Amino acid sequence: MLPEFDLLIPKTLDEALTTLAERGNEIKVVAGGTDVYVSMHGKYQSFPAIMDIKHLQELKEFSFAEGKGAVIGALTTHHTLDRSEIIRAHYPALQEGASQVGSVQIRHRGTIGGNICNAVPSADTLGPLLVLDAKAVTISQQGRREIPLKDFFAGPKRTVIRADELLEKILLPDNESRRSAYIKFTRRNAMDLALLGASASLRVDEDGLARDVRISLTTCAPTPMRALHAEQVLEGKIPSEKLLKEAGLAASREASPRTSWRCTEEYRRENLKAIVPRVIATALARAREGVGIQ
Amino acid sequence: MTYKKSDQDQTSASTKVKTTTDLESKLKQLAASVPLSSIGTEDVYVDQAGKVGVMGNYQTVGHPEERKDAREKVTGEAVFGPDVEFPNMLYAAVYHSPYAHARILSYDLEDAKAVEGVVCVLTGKDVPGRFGAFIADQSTLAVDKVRYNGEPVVAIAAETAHAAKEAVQKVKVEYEELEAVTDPYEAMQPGAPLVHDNWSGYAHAADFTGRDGTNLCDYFPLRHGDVEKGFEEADIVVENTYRTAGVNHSTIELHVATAKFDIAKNRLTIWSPTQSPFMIRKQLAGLLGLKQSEVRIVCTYIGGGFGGKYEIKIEPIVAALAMHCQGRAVRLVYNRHEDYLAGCVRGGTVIKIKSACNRDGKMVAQKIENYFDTGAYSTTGPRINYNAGLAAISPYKIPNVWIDGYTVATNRQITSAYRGFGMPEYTFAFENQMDLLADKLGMDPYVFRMKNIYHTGDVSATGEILPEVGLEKCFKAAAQMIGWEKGDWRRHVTEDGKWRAKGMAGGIKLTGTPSSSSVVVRFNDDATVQVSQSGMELGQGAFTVIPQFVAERLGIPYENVSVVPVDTMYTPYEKTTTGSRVTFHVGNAAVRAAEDVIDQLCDLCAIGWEADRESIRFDKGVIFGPMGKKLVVKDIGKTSLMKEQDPILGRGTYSTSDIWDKPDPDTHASKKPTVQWFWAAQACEVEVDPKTGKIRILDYAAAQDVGRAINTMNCVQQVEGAVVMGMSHCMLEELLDDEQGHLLNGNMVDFKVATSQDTDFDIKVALIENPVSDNLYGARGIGEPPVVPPAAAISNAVSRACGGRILSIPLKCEKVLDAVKKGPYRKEAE
Amino acid sequence: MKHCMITTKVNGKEYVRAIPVNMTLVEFLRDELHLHGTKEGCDEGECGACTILFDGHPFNACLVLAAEADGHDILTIEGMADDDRLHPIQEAFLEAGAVQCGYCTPGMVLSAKAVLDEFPNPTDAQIRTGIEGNICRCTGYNRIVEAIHIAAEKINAAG
Repeated sequence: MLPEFDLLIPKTLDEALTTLAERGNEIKVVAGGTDVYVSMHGKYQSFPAIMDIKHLQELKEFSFAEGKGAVIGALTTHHTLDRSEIIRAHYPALQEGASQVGSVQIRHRGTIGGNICNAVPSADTLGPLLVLDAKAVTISQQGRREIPLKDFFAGPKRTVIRADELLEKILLPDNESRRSAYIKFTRRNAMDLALLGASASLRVDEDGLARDVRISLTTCAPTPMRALHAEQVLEGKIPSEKLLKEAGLAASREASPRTSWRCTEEYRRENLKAIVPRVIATALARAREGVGIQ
Repeated sequence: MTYKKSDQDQTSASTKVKTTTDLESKLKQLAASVPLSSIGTEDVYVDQAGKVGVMGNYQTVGHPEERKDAREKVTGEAVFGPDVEFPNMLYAAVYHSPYAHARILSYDLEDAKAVEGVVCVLTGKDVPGRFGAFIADQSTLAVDKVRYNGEPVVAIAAETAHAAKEAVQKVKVEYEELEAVTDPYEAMQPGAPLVHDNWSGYAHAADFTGRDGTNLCDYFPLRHGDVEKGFEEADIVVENTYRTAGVNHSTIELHVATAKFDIAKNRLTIWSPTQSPFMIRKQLAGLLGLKQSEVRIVCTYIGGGFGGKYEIKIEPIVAALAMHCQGRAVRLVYNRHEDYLAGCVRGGTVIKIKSACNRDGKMVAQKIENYFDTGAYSTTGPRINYNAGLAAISPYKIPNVWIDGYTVATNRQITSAYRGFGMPEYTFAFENQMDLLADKLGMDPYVFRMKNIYHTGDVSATGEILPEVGLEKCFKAAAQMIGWEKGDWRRHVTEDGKWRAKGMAGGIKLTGTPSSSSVVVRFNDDATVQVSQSGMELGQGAFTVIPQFVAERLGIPYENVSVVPVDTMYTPYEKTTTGSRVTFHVGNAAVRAAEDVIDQLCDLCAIGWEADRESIRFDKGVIFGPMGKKLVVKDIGKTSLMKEQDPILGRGTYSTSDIWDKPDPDTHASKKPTVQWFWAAQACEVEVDPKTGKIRILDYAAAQDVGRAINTMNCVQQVEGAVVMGMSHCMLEELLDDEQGHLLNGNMVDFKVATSQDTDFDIKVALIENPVSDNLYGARGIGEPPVVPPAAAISNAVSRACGGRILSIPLKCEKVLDAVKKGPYRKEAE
Repeated sequence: MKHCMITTKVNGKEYVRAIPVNMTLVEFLRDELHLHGTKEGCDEGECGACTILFDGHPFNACLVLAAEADGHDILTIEGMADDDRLHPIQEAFLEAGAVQCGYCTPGMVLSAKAVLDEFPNPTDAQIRTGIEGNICRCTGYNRIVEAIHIAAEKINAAG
């Protein structure tokens, strides 16, 4: 049951930004509602005003150009990302992330913008976006900001987005020969939060060396994090099984998971030793064959 | 017994279906691997990949008749609890205790009462009286003290659901927090906080076996032979402590009730998805100072019960509100979080068990101490202790058995009936012990079990000569279907480094005895029949099988017979719908009612044909008289035999108090503790990822002694559903509290039940035909028995794969990884 | 705004209603339109009992504001059967024995329709993914998966 609130449904981006500039501090922006309404039902917590931004066409861009990369509007649903040929071919980790958010009903409603702005450390698109060198573009009456996603998160459920801003779109560079993968480790096989998440992206050069290695971890720290030491283990080297295992150990050491009633720190670190090498191996196989998800 | 073979190939087939061509190739594959003939085809019926066949040689009994309730459920027309609505209805909401254990110091309800639309606000003192099936320790709303996080403290009725909720937010109650106890074993230790100060101060329905000044509200001892001597003399002894976590029923339909008090008639009506309308009627009448005839319980379809809607729950709250609301209907629906807090659960257990056998593989002794967490109020706890205690003798013949069952109060959610009623927990413990003993003997765990199982005619550990024991066939079928003879039950490693093994477990359970049922059959002059009975439909098929009994006995088409809705104003007494009792007990009563109808039909024929009553006989739906006179019963509408005669009203009752041998209170020895035992065996194959501890079930086989299936589809549905429920308990489900007893995971994200992606494995089902002599068609109950073995079978397989025994469920990946790392094969996982 | 007027089509029939903005779609269907087939199970998008099709998309109606239905098409369980003829998915559920207590059934049928609308010949995996957001405590899911296969055959046979 939802408590009372004032509902705003702006028809244009301009209208939305004007309102946010005036009273952004009292407004909760909602897209799919699959985080906000769950929280409002559960805590019977309200906001003075809810702004439903689903009518804003300006946030629904979705395009890809060779050499330039992808532009994904903030209102793009997980379902769209899941089914997109472009995403599957070029950014398979993002397809793997988006396709495992919640359940099928949630994915038809939930948006990538919502996933990013809700900013829980376990969110399924965040790990993939980090390894894909994503940039967030925010917009306000004062103009746009382009923020590398790795600088977007300030803490659990906190981003650097201002009260007068909306997240407009995500930019992904053309990854050329780089390929990626995401592993979501869960207790049950659907409709679960990631107990741990690992993402990897890399390419293999003509000498068989791993290049542009990116590894990220989710539910391992207050925000999604890049595993920089693990990346260094692999960068510029032949990605042997032994090296992948070492990268896993490095990731396990540099992560900072915590013990909660949901899971212990000890188990999370152990698990990383297994899933980090596995996700690198998947990304590697894709990079070698130049394929995404069939 | 013969049975009608289906048209398809005699193969053991799974219920997992792909396309039609996949079906056929699957059947061929399975035929090659699991030949039925070695199980004894005469007695075994096996589910045929999606198409369910027939058991027995009857017209409707044994057939997979379409369910009577399925159509209205598939269109959404079926009326469930929250669908009940009235003009001018009020909506209720409850303020629940935020503490697990606290004294109530004061209430401030002014702001709550001031919310626009609020009509009535009640606290504990407004609803005096206590109730409880065995110990009347529970009040409708908390009085003086709260004993669990979630206990109802204030009840509010308002014009809208939103207003009621707003008002609840504004309730202020001052508490003095007390120390909480949340583990049943800890709660038994001296110095543990006391949940109830004075057990004997409450009214008791039976002899009180608990202890004042402790948290023990009920004690069950079973004594057979001399276990200590047995342990001294035995070659091999294994001792362990097992734990099972508390779990919530998580029925999709939440707890709900609507009440209306008719002032002129002094009658209270409750609409509720209850499994026990007569039990609730009696309790409410007593609590509210009404006569039983002044309380009417109308049963809506139950959207998932599993025992969770068996006992009185929120009915007293809405009843109390309704009696203060001038004749207006009041509806209360818990939301999901409230359901976790204030619904009911299967409480956790701590089971200390010591088991012994000799080198020849024969069991010698077993001693079990089970500390059952009954939660903050006793409710069904004593009954679980008793029923499960009797069945904890296990399916194995053990000459020396001691069982001590302790029903212990804690400051946790209230334990109620939950499918299996204590047996999944006991079975987890003793079946793991069986594997440990087998391993020490170096014996195949299947061979070890077969050396010890009960057979028909064996004397049980309570002194009963066991009738119709289907265990041998169940075990043989389960072993065959899982391919046990291949030897790959032993731990082995796959090419990609995963660890596999198989596990098995037997199942034993009883049905509560004594109990009673009654049925009235109204025979219309077009040969349609309305059956009045109060066994409730909770998805198990009660509304389908009872018409099948009546149709078969009368020899008329199944389509002609249906049950009427259950309503204590119209339908006759039924003890309860639990304990897997309805098919057998109500079936028996229904058959007697049908026979009464036959008798009356014969009387009418005698009158109509002007013949001697002795010359009239009935056979398979036809009545024969002298001189070739004949009436096909279903065509009676074409005759005038019923015109202006006594209407046909058949009556049948069935109760088991006369066959029941009341157990001795100190040893629970009894020559007939139950009218019916249930037998099962299950086996599975699992794969463990030794680096993460994640488990995958690869294959599952469930053999269930059904006596004779009244509806084969219903039976298969029950077995499959129970296997998945048992698997979910074993692998995923666990209610978690903090140290102060606050429930941490009362929502459906953090309390995880199986989804469609968790059941991606074959469930091969064998329904074993082993007719029960006390039922005309040989039916045995089925709702619960298949949920008894899964946790044991799966954990046996997992522990075997890991090389180390996991002593608690759920089998979370942390525990599995721990077993791997501490086990003999840990180097392989590196 | 705290209240608004909506014009929405539910099962092909147009409704014009004034509603409070904090009313969810499932409350609108059940309490305002008295269509009780859609069930409430959790209010957190975790059980799927409230699944409806919104312009053909499967949504949890507990997480949709009724206000959002303005100008859109909703399909509920009441809209599946055609007067007296059950939809092939409903028939298949009966044939396969996929119904026990029936509480998850309306949401499950709608999710099944979403699967078959996208995948006329679905694989097991596509079906299991398509119903992963619908919890059933009774059946163990396998018969529901089978029912959806049978429904696919029926629909394809009908052309």
